[in-house]
Amino acid sequence: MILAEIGYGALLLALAAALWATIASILGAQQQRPELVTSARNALFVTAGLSTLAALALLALLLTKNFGVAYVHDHVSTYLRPAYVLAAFWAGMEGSQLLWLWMLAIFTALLVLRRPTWDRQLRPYAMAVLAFTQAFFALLLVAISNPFELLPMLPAEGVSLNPLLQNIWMIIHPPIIFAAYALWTIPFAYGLAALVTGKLDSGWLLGVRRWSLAAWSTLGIGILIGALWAYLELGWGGYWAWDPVENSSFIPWLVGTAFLHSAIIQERRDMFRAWSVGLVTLTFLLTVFATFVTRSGLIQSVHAFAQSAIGYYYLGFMGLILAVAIGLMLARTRELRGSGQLGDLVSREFAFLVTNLLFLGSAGAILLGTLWPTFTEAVRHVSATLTAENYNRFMGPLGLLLVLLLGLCPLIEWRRTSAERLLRNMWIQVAVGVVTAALLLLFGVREVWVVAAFAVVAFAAATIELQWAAGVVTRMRTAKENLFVAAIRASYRNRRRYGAQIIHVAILLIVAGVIGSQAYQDEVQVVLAKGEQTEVGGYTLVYKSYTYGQPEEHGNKVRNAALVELYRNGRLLAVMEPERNLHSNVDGTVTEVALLTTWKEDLYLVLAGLEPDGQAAFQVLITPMVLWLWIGGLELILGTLMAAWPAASRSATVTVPAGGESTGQQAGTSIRHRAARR
Amino acid sequence: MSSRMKFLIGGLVVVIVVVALIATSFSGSTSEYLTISEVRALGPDQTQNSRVAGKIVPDSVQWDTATIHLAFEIEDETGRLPISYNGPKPDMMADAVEAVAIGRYDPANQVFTADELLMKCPSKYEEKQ
Amino acid sequence: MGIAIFFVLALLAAGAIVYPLLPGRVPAPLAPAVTDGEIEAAVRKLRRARAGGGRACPACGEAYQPGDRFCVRCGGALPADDQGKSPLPPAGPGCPSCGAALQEGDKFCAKCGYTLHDEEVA
Repeated sequence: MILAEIGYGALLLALAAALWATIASILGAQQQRPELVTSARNALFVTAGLSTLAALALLALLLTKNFGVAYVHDHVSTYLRPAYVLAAFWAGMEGSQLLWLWMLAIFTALLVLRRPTWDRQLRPYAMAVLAFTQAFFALLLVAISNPFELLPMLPAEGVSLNPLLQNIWMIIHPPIIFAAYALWTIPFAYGLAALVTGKLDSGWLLGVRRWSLAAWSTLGIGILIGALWAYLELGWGGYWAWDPVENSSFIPWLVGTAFLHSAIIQERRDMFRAWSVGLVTLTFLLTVFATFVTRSGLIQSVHAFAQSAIGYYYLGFMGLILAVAIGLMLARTRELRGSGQLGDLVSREFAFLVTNLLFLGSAGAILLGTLWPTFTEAVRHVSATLTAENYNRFMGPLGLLLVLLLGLCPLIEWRRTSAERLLRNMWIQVAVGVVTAALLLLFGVREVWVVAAFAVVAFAAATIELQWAAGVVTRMRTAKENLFVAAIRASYRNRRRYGAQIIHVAILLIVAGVIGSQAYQDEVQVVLAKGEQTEVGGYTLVYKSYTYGQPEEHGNKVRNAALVELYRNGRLLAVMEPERNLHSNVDGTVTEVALLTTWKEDLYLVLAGLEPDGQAAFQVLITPMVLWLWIGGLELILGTLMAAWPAASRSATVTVPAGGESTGQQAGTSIRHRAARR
Repeated sequence: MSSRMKFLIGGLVVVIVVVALIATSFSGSTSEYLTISEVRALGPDQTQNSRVAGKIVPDSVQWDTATIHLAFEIEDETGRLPISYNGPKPDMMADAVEAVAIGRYDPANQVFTADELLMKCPSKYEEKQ
Repeated sequence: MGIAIFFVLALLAAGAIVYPLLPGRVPAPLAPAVTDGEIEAAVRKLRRARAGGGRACPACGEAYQPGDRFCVRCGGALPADDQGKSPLPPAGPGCPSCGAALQEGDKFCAKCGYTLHDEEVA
């Protein structure tokens, strides 16, 4: 039990240190006392160390299966495999909050490790915000959601981890999501710091750019991994169910995307300053909300909210942050007015504004939909839940409009665009869209929205490719390089621009995959005796043999599997073995899906039932273009890495005299300046 | 008209369109949570799916591989309801305490035909089928 | 035993936190109000103003050079009055869109109005 005492004590001390860090950094900045800021900095190293200690303590308690600790008892058992003990760490509310605190504390420590450069004035206030958030989670853990709470007696066995969670996904998915939430705290902290100090020009945005990109992409990847998990493990053939847990992480991602784009406008044109701080605040609040929703059961039952005080803590914290942010924004109205002036409606500024409104609209709608059962129950006493169809009815058009803008924005210029120039710049892409639509119609696609959707995606993709090609061609002309060298150099020199374009292409891949997989899905259920075969969607499935009731893993697993050969046009494509096993530590069956993935479509084979005589029931789902989502996800990572790749060199300052000569360098070669570039 | 005005009006138009789109999407075809007695009171003219939850009656679960058909009963404080589902038996069913069925009620046969099943397990996580 | 460890941890934490506050420690100086980047930007601005000979963008007021067609800060079109060449030395490779010479800190190409990113200029 000493580990539990150490863990709890560490959290208590971390709370104290975080509170001190909040106070000291603010006081130190206000009173120009650097020693207070240094003390606060040290306090943040202390919280990082203490939260690590607490996390290790919980991990040790889980690994040693100490059932005297309530959390361990609730999530682990003697027969739980060691690897899944890690999953048990963040399976419940207490553990997830400890994970959140630990990640935030580590990222904060990494941030304050480096001496301030661009953020010399903002740093203390950002520290205060980060410390205060740490204090909130520490308070939760200490007061009301204690992972180290002891049981009055020592049970012999634990409840164990829900079998649905006993897989690799539960090990990797929550840490990625919580890392993303913790990362979003940093741009938010600097946003508030900018408000406090009044330094609301694009300096803070440029400074946090890499943190923002990291947060955004980590959250996006986390969401995709969640979808992949649902697809591979849950066995219903889909990857997204619009359920509250999925929605609650998607909503901040949408708002975060709006923030990234708003940052671009502010950087280019010094406009929409209030949008930038507002959106980053909203993103952060939504990540806190998401944490609360995921583990508290609020959506399933309003009554769950009232049962524990933890809901009030979360609401209180979110309310406080919102009040502070709004108060600061009101106080800084003057500084929030940028120097840029609005131009025409047909301008990139307006296009960005519309983009942001669409992102916010989508986020708001999904939030409303997620809370709809709670809302309707309160108002009408009958709780209504939105179906996937409801969500698709607004997300489809909104998503498509966003893709359209993705293709249009690069063609529209800042300030004002003449209609004639716009049309001249865009006819090739429009032609690509039209040709795509024509091809689809030719191939027999009859649904209007599918044709329109793919046409818009093709249009946007063409815009991106043409922009890149134009850049490469210009470089070939001006720098006299061949195609290959020009392509590489142009891409490398314009990492930020082309990294963003790669991310956009990744999104287009994902959107295309979503359209294809949502538009068409063949489902067939068939019962076969051994040796029989069936035809589905151009494939031939031959049920060759089966395994029934075979004990494995020292008797802890009973294997029931059917061996199916998959043919297409007479050619053997794969041997698939879907399973429906029994595990000693699981009540019920564990379905293992067999999957064949190609660019064109997935063939998803589920063993619905297997009799001792070999009679087998199969469920076959053929879904187009699912692979595009995962490939898009990989490309998202690549694009982010490229966009965030650090600037080339930070060599000594080279003065450029007014005369135009530089120390021993000729015009036309790259001059390395000391760049405080982000 | 000043640029600011144009932007405001333009933005407002977008907001109105988006709100209208969302409002129309929310109406109809949502699925309402009903008690078992409310389900039994439904007539043959149901326009939308309903959801009904109840404790799974022990020993009522019947699975037939040959027809890929699952039949079981749920009960709540208002009564019992037979559920019929064409699809694989959900993994968690043996462990599940409660089930949510989404579908339509067939008054003629007094059976609830489920398109979708959700199993509720003691540890609060759900399985969807 | 747990209490003992707790006190040790508390002591260590308190020590780290109090150490910078002890009298006699020379604190790390707080930031000067202006960063190097801001100084360099101000110098560039003055050089531009001096070279431009009084020309200012009608939309945002940034100085521009003879022969510029777009403002390098806000991208707005400039009055197409004179031809001429900018007396400022070029920085880095040219504009990715039209190849024209750029200055450090430009946000838009002076010749074609193309939107520039940081690494394209340095």
